[in-house]
Amino acid sequence: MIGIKEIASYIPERVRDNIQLAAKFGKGSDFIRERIGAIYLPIKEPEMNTSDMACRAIENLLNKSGVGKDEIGCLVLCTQNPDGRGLPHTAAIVQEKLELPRALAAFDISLGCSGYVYGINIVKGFMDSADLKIGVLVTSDPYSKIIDSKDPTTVMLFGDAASATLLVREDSILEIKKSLYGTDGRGSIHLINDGGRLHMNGRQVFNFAATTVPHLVENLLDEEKMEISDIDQFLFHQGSRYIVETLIRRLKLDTKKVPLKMEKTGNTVSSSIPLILENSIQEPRVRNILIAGFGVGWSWGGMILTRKQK
Amino acid sequence: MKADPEVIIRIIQEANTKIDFDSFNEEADLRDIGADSLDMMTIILEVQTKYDLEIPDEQIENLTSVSKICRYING
Repeated sequence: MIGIKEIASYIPERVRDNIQLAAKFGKGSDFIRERIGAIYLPIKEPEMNTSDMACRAIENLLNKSGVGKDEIGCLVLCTQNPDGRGLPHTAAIVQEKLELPRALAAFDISLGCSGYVYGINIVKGFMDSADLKIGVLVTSDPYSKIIDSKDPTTVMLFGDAASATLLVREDSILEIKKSLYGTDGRGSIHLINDGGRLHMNGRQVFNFAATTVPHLVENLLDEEKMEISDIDQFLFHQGSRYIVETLIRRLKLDTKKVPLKMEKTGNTVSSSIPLILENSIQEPRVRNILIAGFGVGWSWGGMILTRKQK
Repeated sequence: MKADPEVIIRIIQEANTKIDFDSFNEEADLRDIGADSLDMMTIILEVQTKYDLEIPDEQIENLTSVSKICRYING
């Protein structure tokens, strides 16, 4: 059965001090620590492109897993900030830069913060229908390309990072169970790239997340006939500390079961879930994981992952 | 459903905000007694959920006290 075997990431070394930045907008360190949740924001070097971040994450994955380049059958890259203007697709640029085999299915998918959950099922489905043994899902969506440095709504929130997830037909660690998805295009005006600059209506993003994600979690658990207590970890997209804490409050979750990992990364869009899952996959005590991504679109997706019994 | 100040106060208490309830009264501007912009977003969201209504962005700046929120809901 196709499942997840390994996850790796790439986080740029260059960081922005968010507390110093907040002071310029008249915000104190409490606001950054308690509300935003990101003390530092990694920002890619200007000459580094989306494909370069993707390549670093894939190289880390290959080193970690021992999988050879020639073994990869498909590469799916999730981004809304591709190299150039998206033509050619960034996955093809990655194939060339990493000298991956020509017998490789490589394509981009355009999704934001829900992209990782969608991407898992896209890679799984493609591997299944094309009878492939190994697939890689990459997230690389550097918002620093479109952030307006004068806009306090976004500049203190987003960091750059990339991830690479290895899906295999045999010997996987996490099984892919039930997933649910949703879209509501009425939200499209509230989080948008307008002429190369990101615009975000924070209140509308917050309302969307706080009302949609609890239903997503409840419906997913209902369909799997599971209870909240059956889940060992809830991995929410790390939109901001405040959004994650709001979800904890509204769903009445145990805070110990909901990792917050954005202090050194900020909101890394479709990379935020795999950045946490990279650790969770190494923890045998974590058996059932619920992942939930939500954002631009509006678009949302939730999935249950279960550790395979040895 | 008619808005009741007691219900709005309970919503605010349960919203886990930074509001100082020692200085609280129905007329108090919530921002003056500790609520920041995110607290206000949460309070308005919980009010929307309770009364099943959608409050437009342009109204938010005016809904700064329990009495103002009640007056808005009760039309």
